[in-house]
Amino acid sequence: MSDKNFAKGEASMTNSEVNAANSEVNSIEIKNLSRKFNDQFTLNNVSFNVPKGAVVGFIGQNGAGKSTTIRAVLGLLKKDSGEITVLGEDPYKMKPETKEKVGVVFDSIPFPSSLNANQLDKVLKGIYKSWSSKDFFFYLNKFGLPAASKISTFSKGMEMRLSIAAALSHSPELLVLDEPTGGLDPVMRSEILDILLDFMQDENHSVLMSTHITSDLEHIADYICFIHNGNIVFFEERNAMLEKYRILKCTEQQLAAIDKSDIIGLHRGKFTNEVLTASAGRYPDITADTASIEDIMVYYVKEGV
Amino acid sequence: MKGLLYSWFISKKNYWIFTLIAFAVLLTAIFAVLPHLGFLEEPLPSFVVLLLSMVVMIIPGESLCKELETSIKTRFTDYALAAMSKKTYVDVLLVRNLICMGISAAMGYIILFSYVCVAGTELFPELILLVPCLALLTYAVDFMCIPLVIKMKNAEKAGLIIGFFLGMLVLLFMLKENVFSDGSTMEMAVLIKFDLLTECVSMGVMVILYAASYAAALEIVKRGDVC
Repeated sequence: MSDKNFAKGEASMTNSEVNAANSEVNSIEIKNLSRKFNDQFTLNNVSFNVPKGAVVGFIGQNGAGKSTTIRAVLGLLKKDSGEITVLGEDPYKMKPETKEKVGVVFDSIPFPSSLNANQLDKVLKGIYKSWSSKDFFFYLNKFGLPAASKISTFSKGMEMRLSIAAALSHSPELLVLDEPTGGLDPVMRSEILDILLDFMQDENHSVLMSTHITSDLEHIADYICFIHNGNIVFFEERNAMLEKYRILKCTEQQLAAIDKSDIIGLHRGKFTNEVLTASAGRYPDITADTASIEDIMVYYVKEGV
Repeated sequence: MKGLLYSWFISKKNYWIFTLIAFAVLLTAIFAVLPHLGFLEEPLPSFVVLLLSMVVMIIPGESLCKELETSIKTRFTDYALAAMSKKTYVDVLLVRNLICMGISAAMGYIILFSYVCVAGTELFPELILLVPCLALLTYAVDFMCIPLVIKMKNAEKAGLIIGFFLGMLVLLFMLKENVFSDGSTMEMAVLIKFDLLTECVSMGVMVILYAASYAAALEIVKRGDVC
């Protein structure tokens, strides 16, 4: 995919239900969201939906626009243009009762560091009408977090777990997570993902999750949305995406025979060239490996032609 | 709203307890020492007491703007705005300010009346009127800083701008005094005749400032990009 396509913000949406703007089907709808920050960065016509009952993995490099998009979804960002609907309402004018249904995890802990978890429970009880102290302490116990220690003494991983515990403790229908597994060890990440899968047992629940740890998404995500330099590169159903993209391992002669328009990313090795393509079926004679989400992201960004 | 007020109270709790103890010790010490220093003739003791009142009245609201700056920088404000309406958030800032003003006025009166009880003198009536006026003025100025703190995400800069503005205002009063003087001397003091009318007028002005600051803060928060 060329830079021209990046700039246009073209994205492939393979699911027509996802494509349809329908707040009964979608928890989040983003349409042509744009915001110019400076000459270096612009969020440009970002459009995608988070269907009800689905987990959307939101991937991209640092500074690609993930957190900015998430802040716009939460109504915290001034947008230049575009429409956003969250649980059927404009996030900039959302009713408090609807805000209660959105659980939020930022990439850094927002809570006052002088508080401990016991005090935080009282604070959040005063913020959320649907707050459940029982659920909060259940998650604290599950995540191995001390209730009486100040948040300032927590490690990064403990802070993220506390944020997740708080997000899950007011009966949300939608979770908006910005790097929720950052700083967590594999065991704890697995536990968090299990909790998210439990959360998704209710088909009315949805998750929008941005992350660098793409391997987590291979276990949990239904859709993958890739953003690069403020433009949506693609939004695809995960299994279909993993079926579609292949890495062709080819010689120079084989490479010369591949149609340039079929080459999404090219990595020239010493002995073998690797080509990311969505049209592997056209080249049955060339060895094709499966591509992970991480491979696809790296090839689009680093090796893109 | 309750949650945010609780988080603020909890973080200030120890500071207030320490202030209360320090205040009680200071008060006792001053009233014990004053008679021995020979400061028994008015108006000096009243002046000292008034000064002490002014100092302790500022204490409850100390670092209100700094805490708001911290809340913005740590994105607790973003978290709160994701959970509540923007109007509710600004209401919390106002309620916090008013609570501090009430505590401040109470502390001011405690000092004044304690002095009356200890010294057995009459209090100048102006001082009774001055306490709520000072409290309202102090915390109106503090609340005027709020929109600037949200906009600039910096409490010191906001304070500098408001301080500059108020300084210019005081300078205008001083110039006004000198324009109408006979020109033989330079008046450096700003004379205000303090009575019930002056207090009502100044309170009216403060209320207008509060309303204007509230509207400005709400507008800035509604626009987004707070953190």
